Amino acid sequence: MKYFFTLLLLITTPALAANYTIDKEASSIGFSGTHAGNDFTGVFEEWDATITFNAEDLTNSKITATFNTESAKTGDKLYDGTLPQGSWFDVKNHPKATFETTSITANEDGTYKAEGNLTIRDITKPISFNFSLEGESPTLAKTAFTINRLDFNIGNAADADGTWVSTDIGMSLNIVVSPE
Amino acid sequence: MSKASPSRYNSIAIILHWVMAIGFIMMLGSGFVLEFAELDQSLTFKMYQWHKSGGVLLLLAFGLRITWRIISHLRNQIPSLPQSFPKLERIAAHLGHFGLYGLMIAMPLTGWVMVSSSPYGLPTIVFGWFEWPHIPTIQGNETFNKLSKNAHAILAYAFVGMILLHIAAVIKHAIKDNENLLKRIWWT
Repeated sequence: MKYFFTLLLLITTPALAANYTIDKEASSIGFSGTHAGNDFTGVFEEWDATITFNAEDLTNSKITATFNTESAKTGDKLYDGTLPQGSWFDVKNHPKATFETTSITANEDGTYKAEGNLTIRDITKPISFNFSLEGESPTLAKTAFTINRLDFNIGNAADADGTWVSTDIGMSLNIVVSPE
Repeated sequence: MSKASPSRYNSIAIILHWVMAIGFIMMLGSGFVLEFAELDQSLTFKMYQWHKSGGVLLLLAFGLRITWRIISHLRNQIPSLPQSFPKLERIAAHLGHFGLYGLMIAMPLTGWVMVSSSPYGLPTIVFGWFEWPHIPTIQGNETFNKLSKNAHAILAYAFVGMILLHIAAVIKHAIKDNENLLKRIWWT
């Protein structure tokens, strides 16, 4: 009987997904696009994320992240003065952007696919991207994908057809994590 | 006994006149290029930023010029118009100068409203040197933006017309009246 209960416990208890701590110094969340025909790149300097992940238990794996929109910096005074404005990130009314996964699945090539909801300017849209994991501890989680800024009303009032600023904005995430 | 009227403007007034003349001609030139020429987009963007920066400097220069004009007036350092000028021409000259002063302040002011109400929200960083603040609360205000854009354009044409009249008057007085007015605004 004792063995039966032990066996039952093993079968019914899900494999525990591990929490990860993030090495923010080594991590970066970048964005890129073009303006007036010139490339620009920038980073979010302030963000936070929680990662619960186990490759053997993807159902219970989850990533949530919060970005401080005011911390988006390109290193160009003109751009950095523009991004917080009402037409763009509108940081006064929308100081935070968030992301939360709804599912993480494994791809055949060893990478993973994250699907989730990205909220910017209080507009939530589903997005998905593939990410790879490199190394054991620490692990580098890498992804690059594109979002359409118009989906989130970023610059729609100023430049709805992308005459000046590309509507496609590249996101590049390099997150260094270690299991807790 | 009051001091006799000088034959020319003082040095600071002369410098301000010519520096601002060059400045406004460059601004009008770049403004018309931005409006009508099809340039490379990157250059267009840069030109807009130079134009904005130039406008701020001219607005500041105008403040200096009007202050200096008042000081010069109080010190009786403004040369009178030549005695040979008939009354009508005196009135026309005063009106012309008044109009030029009005345009010198109206052009940068309407430009300031334009950039302040623009939906782009681009800051004005004067030649990368310092940030000139925008007029608060009107960012993205379409009415202000439209009105100021129209006014800026109409005033630009008016300014070109007034400058041409200003130059034509100097030529007319030189040829017809044998009166070289340039002497009043140069070190002679």
